[in-house]
Amino acid sequence: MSERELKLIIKLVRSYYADAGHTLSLPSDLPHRELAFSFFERDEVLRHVAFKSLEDLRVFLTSQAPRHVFYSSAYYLSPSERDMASKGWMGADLVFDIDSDHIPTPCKDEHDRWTCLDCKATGRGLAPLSCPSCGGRRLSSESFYLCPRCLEAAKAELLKLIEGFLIPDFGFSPSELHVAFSGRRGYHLHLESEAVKEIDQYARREIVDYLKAVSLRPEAHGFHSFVERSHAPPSLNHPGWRGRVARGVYSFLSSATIADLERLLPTSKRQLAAEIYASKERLLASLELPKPKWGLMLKYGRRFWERLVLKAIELQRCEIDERVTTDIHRLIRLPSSIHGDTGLIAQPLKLNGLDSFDPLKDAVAFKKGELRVHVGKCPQLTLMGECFGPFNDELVVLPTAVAFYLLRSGLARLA
Amino acid sequence: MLTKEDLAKYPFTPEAQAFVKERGLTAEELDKTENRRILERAVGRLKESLESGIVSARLEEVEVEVLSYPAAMLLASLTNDRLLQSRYAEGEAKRAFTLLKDETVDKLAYIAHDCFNWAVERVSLDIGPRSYGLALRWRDFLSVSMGFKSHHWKLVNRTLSAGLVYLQRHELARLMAEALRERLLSRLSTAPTVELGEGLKASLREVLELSKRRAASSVGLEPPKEGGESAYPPCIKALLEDASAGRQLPHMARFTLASFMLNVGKTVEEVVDLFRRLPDFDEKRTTYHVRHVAGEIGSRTKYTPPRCETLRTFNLCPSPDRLCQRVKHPLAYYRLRSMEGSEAG
Repeated sequence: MSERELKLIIKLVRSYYADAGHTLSLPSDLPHRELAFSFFERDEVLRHVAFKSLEDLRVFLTSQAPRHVFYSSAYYLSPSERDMASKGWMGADLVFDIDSDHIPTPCKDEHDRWTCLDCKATGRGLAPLSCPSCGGRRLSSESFYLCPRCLEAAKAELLKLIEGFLIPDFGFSPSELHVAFSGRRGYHLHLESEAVKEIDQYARREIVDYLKAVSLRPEAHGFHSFVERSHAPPSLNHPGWRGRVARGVYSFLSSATIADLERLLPTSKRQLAAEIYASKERLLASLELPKPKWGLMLKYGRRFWERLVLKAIELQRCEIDERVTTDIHRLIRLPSSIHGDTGLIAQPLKLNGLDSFDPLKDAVAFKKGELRVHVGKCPQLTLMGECFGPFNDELVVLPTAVAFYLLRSGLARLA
Repeated sequence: MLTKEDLAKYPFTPEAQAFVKERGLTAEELDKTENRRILERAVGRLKESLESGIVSARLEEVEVEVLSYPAAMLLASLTNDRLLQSRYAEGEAKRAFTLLKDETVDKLAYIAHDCFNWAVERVSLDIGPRSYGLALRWRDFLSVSMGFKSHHWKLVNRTLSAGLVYLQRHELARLMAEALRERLLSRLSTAPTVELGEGLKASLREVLELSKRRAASSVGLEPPKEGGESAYPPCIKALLEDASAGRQLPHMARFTLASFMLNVGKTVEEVVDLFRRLPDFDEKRTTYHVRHVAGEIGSRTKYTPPRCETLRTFNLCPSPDRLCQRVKHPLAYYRLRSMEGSEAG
């Protein structure tokens, strides 16, 4: 970016923090948190900063207008010490990160590309775990786009985490759950209660494994090959994973196509798919009974049964980023700060407002004014409830928020 | 709630400890002839745990049984013998388990709360073939369930609802025994400074000697230094391959590789060499990190590689083989493979 463009961006960010009417929402116990910042004009990351009060922080934000603002999920006795050992770890919030990057939405093929940094192979869609041509694990993925469908998928995953796991299984109360938009592709959920502060990394990993169904043994929840002989088989309303797997089977079957069913059958039995499809209603009705008749599904073979159960687990598990939850020294974007690459606010959200929240509308920071920019080749972009573009090397006047995003993505120049 | 006999059964409860305190038994008094029965029983507790892995419950002489417990703890902590201490903690935990598992639901819940501050709820829930009479807060459950290796104890394989993990009686007893074992192990690691009389000194020598004899006859637990690359588990082989192909590795992968190699006897320099081909290799930084893992600098903890479960969580377990099914830790795999190798050779 040119110096003139940077100056403009910094001015906008500064005006956001200076805005007296705008109140920053802060995590609890600010003086014991480490804060970290990155900036627009230089590459350094400033770490190990502590603030005594909200006012001190606001003065800093207004004068520095940082590109990104992070705070530690951990509480430290001396948060400004540089060395981890002398910081004095006192505990950490339990944090969950849901990023649409990790959710395989169908539109990924349209707007995501990955490149293998080892052999330079490229592909469309969600980056694989390792490069299919050389096996390398150094993959970079690119997605310039703020995709409404991906953000919607991330929100659905967040609701699954809250309504499907944290409240019914873990017994958290809705008032303990603090949610914020991440400013780009997903959502963060923070739990700050005393009860979770001292949970160690191992216990946090067990929570992750529970949510992601890592090492889940179907037979531990009654899904074994002799389920038909069980006098109390798993049913839809059972608690925990037992009922969740049953509901997963139900939801898979109710929307399954013949092709979906074929994929669960060994090659020699593919022809059964049509038969299963035809008896779908009867199968679903049998699952609604207090004692579901799992035998009706087992009769299509053990392989089918096992794959059906695995499919159900895959549908029901929650796609959180395990690195964030298991890390007790993590830095996370400060809610209500600006994401310097999108111009969107990491908006704190009320649980009952989640359904109607549209990040591409409600998290827009720079709603006022327009800028004249020269946009290169660029597909259509949705922001503030409107569509802009596609552009093809043209001079246009755009709302500040749209221009901010295009300038920061390198797709436009200030005219 | 607890009877006199209960104090003998569970000398680790606050009530039993209050009883001990009231009696005011010091190391000096323990040496006196009138307390010989107590000292003998204390030595007996240690011997039993070394010889049969479990301390017996002798409930006829309540006072001796209660008082010999802190006396045995004192002796064990004074030995500075980690193996003996862990065997003793294990022996007391097993003793507690055999007694606890037959208690009523109410008494179990009482002791769990009294000793470990666990919130146990009495419930009545039939799920599948099991009846659950007890439920424990998930945080309390996770505070000890890590100590168990079986999949049965993973949270994801339990019934969790409204913050509670449902348990059968014997399962809660198991968890309590494990909590006790961990508590004893940590208490035993710091020895008090006391003046020892002749009787105590003799007892100390006696158990130390027994412990040495047992250690010599048991199979060494240290990993053999020369198992060779063929004994590495698949996860480590994959990481080595990635490293030698110069592929970028995430932090957890680097830590796993470094800690594994250090634990099978490689030097810091040898381990640093493994990372040489990585695209972002920096000799100084790598050496710093590897020395950290080796415990030479920083917190001075020598790290072991993560357990299989952790590796699975981080997607670092790409192709488990048959032997992997039997182990929970990459070093355990290495040990078994190395033994197979030396038997064949």
